[in-house]
Amino acid sequence: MLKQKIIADKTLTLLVLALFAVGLAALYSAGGEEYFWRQFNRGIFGIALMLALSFLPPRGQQAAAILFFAAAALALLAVLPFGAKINNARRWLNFGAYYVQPSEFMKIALPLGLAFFYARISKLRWRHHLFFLAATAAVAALIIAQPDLGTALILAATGMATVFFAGIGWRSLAAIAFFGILSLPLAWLFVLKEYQKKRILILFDPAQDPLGSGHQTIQSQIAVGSGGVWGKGFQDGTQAQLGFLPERHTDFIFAVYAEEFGLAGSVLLLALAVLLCWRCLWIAARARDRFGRLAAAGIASGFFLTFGVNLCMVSGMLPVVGMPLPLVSYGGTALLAAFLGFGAVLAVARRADGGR
Amino acid sequence: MTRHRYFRPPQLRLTPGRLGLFFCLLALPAMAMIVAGIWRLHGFYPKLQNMMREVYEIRRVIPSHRGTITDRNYELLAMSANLYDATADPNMLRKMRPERWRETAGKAAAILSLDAEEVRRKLSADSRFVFLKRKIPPAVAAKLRALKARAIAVQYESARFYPGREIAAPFLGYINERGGQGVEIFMNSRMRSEDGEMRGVQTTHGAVFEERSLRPAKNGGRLRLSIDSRLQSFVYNAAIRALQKHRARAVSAAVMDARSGEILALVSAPSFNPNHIRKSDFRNSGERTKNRVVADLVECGSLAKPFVVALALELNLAREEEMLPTAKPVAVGRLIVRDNHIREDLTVAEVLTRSSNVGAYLLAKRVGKKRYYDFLRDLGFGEKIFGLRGEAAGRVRHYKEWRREDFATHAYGYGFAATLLQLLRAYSVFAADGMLLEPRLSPEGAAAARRALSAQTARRVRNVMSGVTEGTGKRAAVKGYAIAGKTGTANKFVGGEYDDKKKRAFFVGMAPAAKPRYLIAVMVDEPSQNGESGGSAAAPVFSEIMRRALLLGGIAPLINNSEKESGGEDAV
Repeated sequence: MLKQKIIADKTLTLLVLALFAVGLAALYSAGGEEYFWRQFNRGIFGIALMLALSFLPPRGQQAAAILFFAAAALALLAVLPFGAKINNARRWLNFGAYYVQPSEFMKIALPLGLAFFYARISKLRWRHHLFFLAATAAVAALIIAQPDLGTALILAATGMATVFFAGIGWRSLAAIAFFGILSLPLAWLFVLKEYQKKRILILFDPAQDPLGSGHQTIQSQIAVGSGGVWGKGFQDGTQAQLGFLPERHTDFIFAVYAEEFGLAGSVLLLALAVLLCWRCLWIAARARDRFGRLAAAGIASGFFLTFGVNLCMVSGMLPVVGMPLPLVSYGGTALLAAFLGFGAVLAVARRADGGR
Repeated sequence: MTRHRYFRPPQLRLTPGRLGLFFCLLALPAMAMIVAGIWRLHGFYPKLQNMMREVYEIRRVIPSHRGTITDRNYELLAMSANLYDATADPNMLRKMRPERWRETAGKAAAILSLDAEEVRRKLSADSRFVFLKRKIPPAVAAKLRALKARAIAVQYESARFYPGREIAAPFLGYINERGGQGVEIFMNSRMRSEDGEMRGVQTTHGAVFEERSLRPAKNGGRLRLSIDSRLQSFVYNAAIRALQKHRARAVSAAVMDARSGEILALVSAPSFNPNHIRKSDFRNSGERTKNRVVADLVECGSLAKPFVVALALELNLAREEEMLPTAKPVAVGRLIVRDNHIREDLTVAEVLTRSSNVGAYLLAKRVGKKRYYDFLRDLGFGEKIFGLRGEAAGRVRHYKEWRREDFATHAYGYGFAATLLQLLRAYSVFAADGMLLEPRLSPEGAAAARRALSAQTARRVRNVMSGVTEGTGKRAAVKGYAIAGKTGTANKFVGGEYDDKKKRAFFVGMAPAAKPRYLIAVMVDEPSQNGESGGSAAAPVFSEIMRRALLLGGIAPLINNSEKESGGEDAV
């Protein structure tokens, strides 16, 4: 293969670009030109990075993966004492002009790291899986400490999905599920903070505190609901344009989108996400080694979980957690992390069976 | 082949099957669930919207403006200014941190130029609403708004402002949140405005957009009065000067256009500043606030004599040059009618110009009780003119209740009570050639008049009255013009008897005498210095006012003081 294709997998690349384009449109409506261009420039950089990453040979992929994981883990450790405190949480590292959120990178780094180590074990036993689950829990614990429960849970789920793809036994899985459900009341009593409990309760009765905790979810539900089937039209969404909707260009951008493009637009967005997930999993299934398969599948599951949780949150089916919509929400770290992840999947795709 | 250690082929249970499982059992159902969730919101969101609407809804007053009052020349007499009230919600403020609370209170106090301690005390009240300061100008309100303290607000308030201050206050009255009086209340329906109400929705960013106007604002209509503020102001100042000169209790005066009945000035002194009403203004049953021209009931004394003379002439019961035995007092029952200053017999005309009680009684006797009573009623005594708040109707007892003595006193103006404005109206029969002019406050519309006397008799009496400047009313003369009028001095009835010390001095007159343009009534209540009679206290005030009125009216003075030609028409 003297001459490599620039685009390792056309379908995946197209889906990523389409999703990003939809996000830009929503952002233009929600935040105006300023946000649009900033995100656009980041996107160009991200796309270039993604395409460049896809050229990594298998060895390079693994080396990059472990380095990336180590860097993300270090950053996560560093954020606790050195992070910038915003809204009573330390989630960001301040690099002069840029704020970087290490937990966003971790969403990609964790499956990559797990895949790296899984690839090195010749005969997998249940204790290996257990160990990786514990490692996942440790990373999640670091994020809980920030505190950022939502991201921690997504991360734990991503890690668990990776372990699942690695082939953990069904019995072990059942045991974990059992203990997991058992520990829920304990979590409610000891782990969850007051405001987190409130957010969960609001889910069942948003009228409890319409100006406080319930406010955001009510407003986004009104936005999504009032969009109807065909939407109010680009930039005609009253909820967002009139300033009722807080966080409209970041975590709640889907509300803006759904209000303006309706159920039809939402289905299109969901279809893009599902197809994206499907294509990643398809690439994973055709990967030639365990690292590639786990990395692609893990990243796909992380992407999809984040995507789904965000949509559930915006449409009032899950409590409000700080969770951007990958490729769509405004935010540098999340966008870069997403492109990095898909870059890794593209790199896997280049070596996959289908690539021949 | 060390490379192979790194790149082992996939093994164990790492199967594509699990990937499919993930996709089919998690991803697809999740997406289906989300679509269902969005679908559900289509039906559900109006409920949420209604809930939020209550939270976001604000009701705002759309300010309306009370109509202005202007004089006949559209000079502003009363206007509504846009002012604001500074209000606060102490209970909301208390949720702030104490140091922020103190800071906010201090800033608000500084802006409102109030004592910081006082503001803090007001803000400590356990309440949702206090007034910090009322009637603050728009600039101060804007500063207070700029504080951006949610618990401190400004609300619109319409405040009445009277550019003329005291000059017409008892007549115009005032209106404020506690009440009002005068024209402001009398003509309230004309000027009243209704604030509108707007229901809006306020976003979390503070932007308000109108959702629905519940009620539009209705502005009040403008009220144009017949008053001429130039004259009003002059009359007020003249009244104040007289008040001081004679150390009188009060002075009231009214100027009427003798052609149309329009009231050009209506003055009651002392007055008050309607822009800053004080409690003391209301002392002694409205010493300063009442409109004495319509509120004070007086016995008019000699002012009644022209009515008797006119009636006698009208009925051909007397002639002007006929001599009457006025030198001697006449006993009527227990009453002795006398003239202290008259020692000779007078003609009927002189009875007026020199004001003889005896002569008036003798003429009244010829006329008879009934006809005199009917004439007084015809002249409008006992009947309200405008219906202003506090306006008196006066009282004329029925002639069948008159004893002999009462009939005698009625002839020279005791025993029936009238307001100064009623006297002015009654005298209009002489000015308007026998037509009783209904006083009017509006310069628009047609004059209302009814005949009470023949034109010939009216002119005759007026002609007689023009001799007043040779008799009791020398000081009523206006240089360059012929006037006609009558002095009056009445003892006040205090505590069941007539008090020699307490008098009312009157002068009612008109000019130019040949074809009157202005009719003016002046009353000085309890003059105590520098003359106490109608001729010495009221006549000079009349002269001053009439002179100014004639000048303002552009009436040319007579050449050679002859009465042959006089200006009924406006001179340019």
